Amino acid sequence: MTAPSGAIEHLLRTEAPQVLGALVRRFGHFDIAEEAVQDALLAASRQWQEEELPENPRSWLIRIAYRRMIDTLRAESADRRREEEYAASEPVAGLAPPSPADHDDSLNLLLLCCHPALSSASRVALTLRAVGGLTTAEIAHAYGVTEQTMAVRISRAKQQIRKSGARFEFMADDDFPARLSAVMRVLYLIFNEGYTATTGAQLTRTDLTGEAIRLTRLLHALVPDDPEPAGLLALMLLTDSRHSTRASANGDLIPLADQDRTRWDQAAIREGSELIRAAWSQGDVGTYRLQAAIAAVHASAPVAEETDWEQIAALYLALEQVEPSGVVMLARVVAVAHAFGPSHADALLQQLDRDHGLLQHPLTRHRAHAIRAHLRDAKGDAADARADFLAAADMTANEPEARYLVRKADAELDPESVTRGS
Amino acid sequence: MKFLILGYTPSTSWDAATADAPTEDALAAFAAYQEFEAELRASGEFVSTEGLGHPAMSTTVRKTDGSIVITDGPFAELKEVLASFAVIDVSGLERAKDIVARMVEMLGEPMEIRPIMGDDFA
Repeated sequence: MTAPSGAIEHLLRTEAPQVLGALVRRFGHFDIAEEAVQDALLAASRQWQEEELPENPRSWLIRIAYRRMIDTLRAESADRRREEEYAASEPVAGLAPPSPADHDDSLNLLLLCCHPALSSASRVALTLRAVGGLTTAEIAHAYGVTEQTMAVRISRAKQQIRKSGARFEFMADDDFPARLSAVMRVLYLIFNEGYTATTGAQLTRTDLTGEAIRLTRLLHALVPDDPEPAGLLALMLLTDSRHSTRASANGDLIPLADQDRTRWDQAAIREGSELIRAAWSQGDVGTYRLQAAIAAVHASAPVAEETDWEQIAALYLALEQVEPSGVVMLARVVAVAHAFGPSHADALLQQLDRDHGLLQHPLTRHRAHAIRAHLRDAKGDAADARADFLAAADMTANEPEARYLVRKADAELDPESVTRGS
Repeated sequence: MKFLILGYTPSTSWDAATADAPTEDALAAFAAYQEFEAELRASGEFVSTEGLGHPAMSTTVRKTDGSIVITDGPFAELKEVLASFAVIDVSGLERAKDIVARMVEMLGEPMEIRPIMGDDFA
């Protein structure tokens, strides 16, 4: 009996890291093995559609990839032998304790693909291919670049891994927490690229968020006692629960307050909230758990007006301590405005601006001015609000947004002019 | 997963006059090696090891044109000949490399690591 193609695709994605892990563990040569596994995955997806599934799909894939590896190695050794310098001067651990996840290779693969020697774009591409089992064409499509461009990026990433002598197996005394946080950043990046897509069609974005959630689930299963991956998974589920309500029929973004909450994915909200509840009190709370907690507070409000903004403002204060970025500070200002009114928020913004130059910094000034404009507008300072709306309009390259801000500025002069447009 | 470690030695030194009277250095290296082997036994990664007889004592069995031919000696004169082997059972090639790198560092002679194929390849 032949299996449906969706089931085959799922099977291949699940097996990809295990097959690659088995080969690299036994034979080394990450780059050649990775290529060979991709070939085997493609061969399988073609063959299994037409014929029966093999009795043991993983062995089937391993055997095919193994043969490809031998072919490549033989062709290569005709040109030159590969040599690696063994760092014999470094004291080799005699009995290194086993690496954190000795039984599932997925974690080793994730850590390897997120190697510090690689650029962030390369980490993403390699993770999606080696751990996610996506083809180069699929990744290229999801990122809105040509397959050629993506192929170059992936092949360069593999060369860098080879040059850096990165090992597939990690010692427990390796800088594991730092590497794990690099893995989480990459997964978060994949999710955000899917969620706030800069390129590509709707469908590909869902592909990316779905893949990011699947890989984060995998990571959480590999290190279940680590609360931050749990927080990251919660954050993704809670954020993604709103995805079908974020845009209108013609593609305009609908702000959180105006979304149809009855269409939020309740199963995702339940799972995300439960994850963050369980992980919350384990050790010092990190950035993903804090963001997940904020998302959970939003999700628990049946209507926007019932949002517990005081709690959100407190959570942003904690997040600001962990991650003192301009984006987080401005988000806290907005939360404070909702919780305690525009005067409090304006005072906070002034203080943050004195300390961090939010109104001048190129990365934050546009949003800082827009927020201050709204705060001043709410307080009734028409002239100041107008100046800020115009300044913010001047700082954005996004035309619809600039038009919106200029209209707001005009409205400060004459409320009637709002309808005039620009 | 299991790996076979093949230890090679130059064929000239095998036949050298000193072959049966090891130097102080060689004895020291061998003592260090035995300590290391004890570590590997303790970690459960060691399976077995044996030194081999003189290459001239080897016999090659081969199938030619449907019949089995048994020949004295290895099939070619080699600069380096197989001298010993060990089987280890470790987490992967990286770990095998660590172990063999230490062995080579101690004993000085080249070794070869060959994966022993497992159930995945059945």
